[in-house]
Amino acid sequence: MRVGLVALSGVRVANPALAELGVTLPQFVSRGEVVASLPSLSLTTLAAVTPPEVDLQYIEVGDVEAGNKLSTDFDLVAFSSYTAQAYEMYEIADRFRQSGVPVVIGGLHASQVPAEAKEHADAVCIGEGEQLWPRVLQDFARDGVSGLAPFYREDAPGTYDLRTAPAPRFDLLLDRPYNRITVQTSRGCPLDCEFCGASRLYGPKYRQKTPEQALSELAEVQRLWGANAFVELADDNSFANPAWTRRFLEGLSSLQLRWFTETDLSIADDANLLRSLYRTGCRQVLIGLESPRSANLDGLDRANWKYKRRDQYKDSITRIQDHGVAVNGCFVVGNDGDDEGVFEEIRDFVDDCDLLETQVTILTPFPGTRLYQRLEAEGRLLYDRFWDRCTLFDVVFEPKKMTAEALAEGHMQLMREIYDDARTRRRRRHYIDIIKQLEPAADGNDQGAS
Amino acid sequence: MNTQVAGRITGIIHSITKVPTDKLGADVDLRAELAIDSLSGLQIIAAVEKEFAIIVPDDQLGDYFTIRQIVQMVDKLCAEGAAGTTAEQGE
Repeated sequence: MRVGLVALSGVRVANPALAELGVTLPQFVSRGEVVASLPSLSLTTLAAVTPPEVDLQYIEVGDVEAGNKLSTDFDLVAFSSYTAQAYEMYEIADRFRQSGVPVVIGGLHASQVPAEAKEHADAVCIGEGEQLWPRVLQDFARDGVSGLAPFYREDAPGTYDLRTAPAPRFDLLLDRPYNRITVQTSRGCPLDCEFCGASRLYGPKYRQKTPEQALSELAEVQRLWGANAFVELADDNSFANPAWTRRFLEGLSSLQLRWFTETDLSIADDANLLRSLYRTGCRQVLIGLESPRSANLDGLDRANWKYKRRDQYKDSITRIQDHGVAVNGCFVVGNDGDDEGVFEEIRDFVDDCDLLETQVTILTPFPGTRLYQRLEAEGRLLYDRFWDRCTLFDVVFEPKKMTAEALAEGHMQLMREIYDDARTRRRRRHYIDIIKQLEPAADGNDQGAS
Repeated sequence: MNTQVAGRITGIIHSITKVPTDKLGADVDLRAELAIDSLSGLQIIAAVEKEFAIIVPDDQLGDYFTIRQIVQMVDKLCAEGAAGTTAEQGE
C-alpha cells in the first residue's frame, strides 16, 4: 500500500498592505520565516504509528499550485493543515479524489469542523492521530475505500497517554531546509483561554511524555541533524510540572542543544530553573502576555491566572532575560477592552520591559473556540466564509471599541514602530550586554546572574 | 584576511553553534547556509566583543554574515582603538 502524507506549509497573510510591510521589517519577518519552515509534527507522528509494510511518502506543499503538481500515484492520501490553509487543502484534496485517490483529513482544523472537511474527504479523523490513524489504515487495508468510516473519533478525547506515544519519524525530514526541528513533550493546557484552538483539541488535562522519552527524541534529532541542530519544543507550556522539568533539564545538559519553547511567566520565580535553561541551551521562551491592560486579562483563562500575574509582568520578564533567556512576549490586539490607545500602550510596555522579541497578533476566532461561539452569537463576525483570513494577522470580526479598519491599521503601525531600526538596534545591544555578563571571563570565573 | 583573528573567530562560532569548523569557511553565509539563528548571531558578536575588547557600533550589529566580514570588522575596530589610544597618549 502506497500512502502519501501531505502537509500545507508556510504562513499566510490576507491583508496585502501587511504582507508588503513584512518585507520591509527584517526582524518581524524572521519569526514568520521560522514558523513557515517548521515541519509537520502531526504527520511525522502518524508515520510513526504506520505499519512498516506501508510505503510512506511525507510531502510538504506551499500552495495549491504546488499541490496540484503532486503525483497521484498513491492508494491513499492523508492531509493535515491549520485553519488558514484549509481551503487550499480542500482544493488539493478534491483533485486527488477526482483522480480516484481516496483522501483522509485530520488535524486541528478538521477536528473542529468535521462535516465541512468531510465534503472533501472519504474519512475525517477527529482528535489525536495516534489512536485514529492505525484504525483508518486497518479499515482501508481490509476493504479499500468502502471500508473507511466517514468519521473516526477517539473513545475518550483529551486523554491519550503520551507516555505510550512513539517517537515521530524524524528521519522523513532529512535533507530538507528546516531552521528548526520540532519536538513535542506535552499536550493539553488547564488555562483554556477563550481564543485557544489547541485547548479544544487537546483538552484541559496536562499530559506529558516521560523526560526520558523527550530526551530520547532530542538525541535522535541531534544524531540526524548534528550538534548544531536547533530545536523548538512544540508545547503550549513545557514547564507546568516542576519535577518533570528538573529531570528533563538534568538530562538535557549532556546534549548541548540550542532550543526554544513556550511557557508562562512562573518560570521567573525559580532562579535555579532559569540558570538551567541557559546552561542547557535554551535561548528563547515564548510567553503569552496577551495584553498590558488588566481589564483584558480578567476572565481570559478559567483560573484568571494571567490577570493575577499582571503586576509582576515587568519584573518577571527582566529576571528571565537577565539569565540569558530572551522572552518573546506575545500580545493580542482587538480584545473587547481595546480602544485605539492600546497600540501605543503595548509599544510603551515593550520598551519599558526591554522585551527582546515581540509578537503581536490580531484576536482571531478559530472554529470551535469559545471566542468563535461568542462573536457569532453577538453577530460580530465580518464574513460567512473566512478560514483563509484566520492568519492571526487579519481582522475577521467587528471590534467593540474601534472599527475593523482602525484595528488593522493600528496593528500595522505598531509593527512599524516595534520593529523600527532604532528599537531593533536597542534590543540587539541589550541582549549582547546580557550575554557578556553571563559568559565566563577569560580566567574561567563565571560571573553569571544568580 | 587576518588568519590569526579568523582562527579565533572560527573557534568562537564553533563553540556557540557547534557547527564543525571544517564547515566554517571564510565566505560561508552563516545564516543562509548554516541556518545560524539571529540570537546565536548576537551571542557570537557578544563573544567577539569580549575576546577582542571592542564594541561593535549598534547600527552595525546585524551587518555581519560571514567570517571574513567579522574579521574585517574586528581588524578595523582594533585599529581604531589602537589609534585612539595613541592619540590619547599623545595629548
